[in-house]
Amino acid sequence: MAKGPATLTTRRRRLAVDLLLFLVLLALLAFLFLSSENPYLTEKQALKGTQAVSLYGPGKTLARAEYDSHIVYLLQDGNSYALCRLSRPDPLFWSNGYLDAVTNDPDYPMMPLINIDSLLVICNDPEIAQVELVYYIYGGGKDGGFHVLRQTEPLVENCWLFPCHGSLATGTIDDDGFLLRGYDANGALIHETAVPEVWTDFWDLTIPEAR
Amino acid sequence: MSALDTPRPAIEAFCKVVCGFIRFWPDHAAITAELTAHLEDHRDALLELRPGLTQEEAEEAAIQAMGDPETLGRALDESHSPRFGWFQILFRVSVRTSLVLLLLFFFLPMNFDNLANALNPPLYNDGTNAIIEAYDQTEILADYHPEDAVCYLDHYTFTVERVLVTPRPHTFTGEPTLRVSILLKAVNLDPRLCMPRVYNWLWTEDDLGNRYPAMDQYEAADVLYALYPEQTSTPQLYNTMGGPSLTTPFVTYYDLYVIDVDPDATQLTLRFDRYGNAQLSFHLSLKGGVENG
Repeated sequence: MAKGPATLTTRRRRLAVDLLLFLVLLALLAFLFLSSENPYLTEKQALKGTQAVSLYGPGKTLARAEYDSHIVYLLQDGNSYALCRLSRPDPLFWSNGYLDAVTNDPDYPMMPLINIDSLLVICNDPEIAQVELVYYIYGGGKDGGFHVLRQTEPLVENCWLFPCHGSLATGTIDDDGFLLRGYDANGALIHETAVPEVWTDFWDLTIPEAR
Repeated sequence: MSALDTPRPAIEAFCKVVCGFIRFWPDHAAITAELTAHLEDHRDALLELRPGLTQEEAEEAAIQAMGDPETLGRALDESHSPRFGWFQILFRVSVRTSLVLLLLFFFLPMNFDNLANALNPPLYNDGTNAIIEAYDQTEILADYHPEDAVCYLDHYTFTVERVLVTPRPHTFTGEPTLRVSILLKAVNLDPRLCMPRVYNWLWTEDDLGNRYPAMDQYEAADVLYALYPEQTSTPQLYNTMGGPSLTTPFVTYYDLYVIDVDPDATQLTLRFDRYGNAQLSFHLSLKGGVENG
């Protein structure tokens, strides 16, 4: 007898094996993609994934701010506010971002939340119409010295966002402290947080006056 | 062309004529084999029935019984469509090549160390690992796998796999206290969500009311204290520490430990409530016995 011929049944069987191998290939590719550092196809998926991996929410999105290299989302879930920073896709796919959150305590007039390159201030006093952020970069070459950032409009509702470009700024804010000032609609200072101890006790700095 | 005109060797020539009408040439060999087998079977049957026939005559008779090779060839051409045939070949080559490349470039680079780690993973980081390595020389106050220490949270299943309690002098006073090691496991089905970011926010509290804050909890309290020192109490230093010790696409282990735990405490509660509400809560006995010795 001759070798088994390519009957329709044989061809169907071969095709079934090939299809099975194709499914295995698809599963492996899907696994590799989903296990990669950039496993999302869209910004929305990346936001949802970052929230899930941070166990945050779902809550609601209060605002979205775009920057050259990243996008910042302001989220709220009950009393908890979060800043979620998503890097722009590199080159096609999105990755999990960074989410930092704070539980708002209305006893404090201004609640801060520091993210990688921005600082959020939640104002609990409705009289506050302007917010000022003061920080000091020790050394730091041309960037050294006091920096005063002022916002006259909230990002949304009672949330004021200060984009602090560069890790030097946020690193400084995080490590050496900062000062917040809240002004009313007439420009009068109504709230001021304590001056960081390191400014006065170690560096003997003269703090910039309020307006 | 008719079968009668077929030159010898007759079967081979007949098959050649038939295949001449079949456009999908990769199937020619299989069709020739099929036809040859069929004709040979027929020839053998004829020789058995009519012993007076020569082999050549029997072959001719078998070929004649097959009918017109052109008609047969055209019929076979229809069932061996070139479009489907080439697709199948292309499909097979693509799938198998891709699988081989994938295995070569992604899965083969996993060396034997990784394989060994996958089979018997190191679940602890340095601190607790030192206790495990010197287990026989260490005073173990409790070492057990807690029953029902499972929490389901969104995309994750968290379980406490092991609790290990050892004596330890207080960090500042040197008084006897406890060091509690907690091996926490998180399982997720979606590999994009591996390593949930709970560490540095997991804190503990004992049954005597003592709190053992997490590092990020302390840092958040410290920021608030720096801004409002008169309104806020001095933040308590963190005692609940540790982090991921093994991360795979579907399972993450966290080697957590709590230091300076009150030696009179009998129970410790591990919590995660970063966003206000309690999301994770495990009640762990500090007198759980020694199971793993």
